[in-house]
Amino acid sequence: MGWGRILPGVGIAILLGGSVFGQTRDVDGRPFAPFAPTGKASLIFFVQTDCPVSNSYAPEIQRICKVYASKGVSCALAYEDVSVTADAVRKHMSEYAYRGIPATIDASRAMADRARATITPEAVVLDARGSIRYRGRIDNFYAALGKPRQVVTEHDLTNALDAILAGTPVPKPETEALGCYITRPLDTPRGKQQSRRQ
Amino acid sequence: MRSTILIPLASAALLTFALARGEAPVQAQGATAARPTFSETIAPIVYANCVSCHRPGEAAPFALISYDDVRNRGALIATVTQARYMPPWQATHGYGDFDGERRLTDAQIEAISTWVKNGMPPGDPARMPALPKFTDGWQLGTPDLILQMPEEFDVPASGPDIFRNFVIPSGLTEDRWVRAVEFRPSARKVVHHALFASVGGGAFASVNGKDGRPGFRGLAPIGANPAIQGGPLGGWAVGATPRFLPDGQALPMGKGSDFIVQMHFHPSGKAERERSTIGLYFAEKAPERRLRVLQLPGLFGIGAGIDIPAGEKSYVISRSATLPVDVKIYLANPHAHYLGKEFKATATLPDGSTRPLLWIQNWDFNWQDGYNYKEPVILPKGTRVDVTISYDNSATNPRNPSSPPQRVWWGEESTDEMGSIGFGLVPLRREDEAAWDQFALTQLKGTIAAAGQNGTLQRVALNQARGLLAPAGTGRLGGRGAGAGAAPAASPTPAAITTTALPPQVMADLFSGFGGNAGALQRGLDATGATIAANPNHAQALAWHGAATLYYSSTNTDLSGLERIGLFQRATKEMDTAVGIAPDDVRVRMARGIVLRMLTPTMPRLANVPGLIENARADYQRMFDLQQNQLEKLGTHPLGELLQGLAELNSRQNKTADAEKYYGMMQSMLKGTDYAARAAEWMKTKQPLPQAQTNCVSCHQ
Repeated sequence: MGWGRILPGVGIAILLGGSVFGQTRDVDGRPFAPFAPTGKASLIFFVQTDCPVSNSYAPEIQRICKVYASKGVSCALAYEDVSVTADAVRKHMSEYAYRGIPATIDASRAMADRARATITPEAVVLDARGSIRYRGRIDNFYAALGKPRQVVTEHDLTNALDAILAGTPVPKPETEALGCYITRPLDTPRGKQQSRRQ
Repeated sequence: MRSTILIPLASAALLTFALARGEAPVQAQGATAARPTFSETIAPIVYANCVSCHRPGEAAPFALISYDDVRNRGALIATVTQARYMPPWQATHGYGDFDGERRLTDAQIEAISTWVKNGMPPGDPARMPALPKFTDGWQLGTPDLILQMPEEFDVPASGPDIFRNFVIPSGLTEDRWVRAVEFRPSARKVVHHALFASVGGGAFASVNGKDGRPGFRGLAPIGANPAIQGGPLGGWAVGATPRFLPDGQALPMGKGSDFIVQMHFHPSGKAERERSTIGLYFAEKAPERRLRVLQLPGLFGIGAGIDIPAGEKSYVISRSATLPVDVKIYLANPHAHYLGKEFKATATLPDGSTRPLLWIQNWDFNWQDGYNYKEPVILPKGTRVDVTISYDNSATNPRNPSSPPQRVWWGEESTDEMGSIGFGLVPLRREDEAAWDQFALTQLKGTIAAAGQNGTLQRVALNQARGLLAPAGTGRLGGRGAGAGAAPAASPTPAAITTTALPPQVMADLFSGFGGNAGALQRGLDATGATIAANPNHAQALAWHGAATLYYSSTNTDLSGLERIGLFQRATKEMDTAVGIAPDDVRVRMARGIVLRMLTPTMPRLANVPGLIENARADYQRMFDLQQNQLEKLGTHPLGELLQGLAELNSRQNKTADAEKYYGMMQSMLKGTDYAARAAEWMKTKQPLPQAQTNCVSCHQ
């Protein structure tokens, strides 16, 4: 493969990165473009530092990222706290043992809006072309708020990942996530809009 | 009657707690029902009902103090209050009037919903209510005794719920009465509830920390263990505030006792370490009126025949009792595991009128709470108390611990079920206490008899026996369902009597086992068990297997009370069967006589101890009769043990003349030995001596 074929692509990616692929920086200052097609699929988890449901899924999120990393799936975290500092996020990641998963603070809710995520924790899967193929819960551990199952019986997220990797249709492309609502900041038009909607 | 049996620990949150109640907010000027604002409408609701937990350092996952805090969770708060998941409170409003009811009014819930729909207006900051003042540190003042877990316990980030018991030596130098327990977990986000008990010092030493972690595992009701002195001391659940027991009540805690805390942990996603601190508040003296418990069905439902088919959506048990005297009920404590769905308790008075006692429509094991009546409920003699409990063992019950659903019986694991409501009460008049206690004892005996008839005790015992009979090394002693091989069917017919002697090595193992050598005991159990499996009518094997099982069940603190009862019943049945088969076999009589003589002094009254002592005496008497023509040939040790056992048992039965006869024989036939010295000691007072230290073990090891 020659440079001639790659360079224009890189150039286009740089030009379009900020807008098309949602490129930004992660909490450690590295470039971060979770919507850019990479590998066979990419996975974004919308989380919060103080949502108990989101936190209780931390080990499962890490497990899924680890298992699917070897299958060519990348992972990213989007923090949806209303106001949180990069230090607080780094502290949270350390406490909940998130390692090697890039994370960003989605303060403007641009990522949540783009993925149409409304809950933490909520998972979104993009295929190799960057199309959203799954959005919703990780599994059915919670039957309702405050009503955890003793035995998880539906693994919707990994079912979707397996289907995408196998090139078959995703059985349930959309499921209802249970957890904490993603609130829009008051000082944005969307925040005011959301408040009115609610 | 021992409180250890009467008032088992699980769910016996005798000291129960609740949050501050919210008063309906006063609607200030400016805000209206149609236009609620944060400062005028919402903050008063939240401050009165939520912040005691939802503030920094408390158990709730996030704070609800500032406008931003509440706005950020606005939609969530509207959802969970409408579902009445928050504030957490399981009892149906109006069915029993409880202290500390955590409940929002319909108007309050509507106000929150309207406020969220309207865009969560902040309102006039000047009208913000003051944040309630919370007492930092001990809520009930400086405790009389502060205990702390000796070590930290690691709670992993994920995995199933953990039930763990921790032992904290109390260091008490005298008996005390506990009015309140204040519990302060260090890892508040993962400790969901805790139950307390006191036990005799060192009672759990054989299991404590033996798996390499602090404490010991299990969900067994500790206070139900008949071999362990002590009793329950209440409980704690998330959101609870400590309270003193009503009416000057207090629970006993003995000198030198260990404080046991059984904790339920929910992994939170983050690895945590727990090291709780406990404050104890003592009464000056014993309470004038000791709290009694009416449990329906009794003993957590062991006699209720719980057997829930897989997939059954509504399985119901019920139990009634008619009160023998006037009573005053202070509290109601429901208990079931994950499948429990609905609890209902109603009193029907002699005049036909009814009194609601408790109704939980959607039981949640995770919010175990006790319910204290605002005013004690007074019920006259002749009142019938009806309790109904239902279970959902279908696949549609998300709390079902098995997928697909499994048939479920009564048991102590979280995958088994229990079911009862315990009512804490006193007879209205002190002179009725004896009548009440007699009634309670009859109830208890009925429960245990029912558990024997419906097979529950046998199943618990069978699970134990599987562990006991497992080949060495395949499972812990007494392991639940561990190991292969079923228990032998000990139902011999007298026609097939077998009198073969057990091999000397087996006898040596058994005696060594009685001396505390667990490995030898296990070998003895294995060998006699194998003999019974090959020949169910082998009298000596039955007798010694039964004796070893009884010894094991009485001395191994890893067993729960109910497992112990099950093993006890099986052991005594084996020994009695053996004596029935071979009444004139000295070794058969020896097995039963020795083990009953050894163990009866520490047995609870429940075990029909006088009957067991009589059996032991009869065994010694038969051994004596069978050998009376050759007593001189027996040798010092066998003769000494025989005479001493016979003398001691007679003395314990107050048959002083018979005791004197055998002690006299010890003095004349065994001059110059320790036996003669002991007999002389008895002659001084003619009262039962503490059990002799010299016994078979010292010689047979």
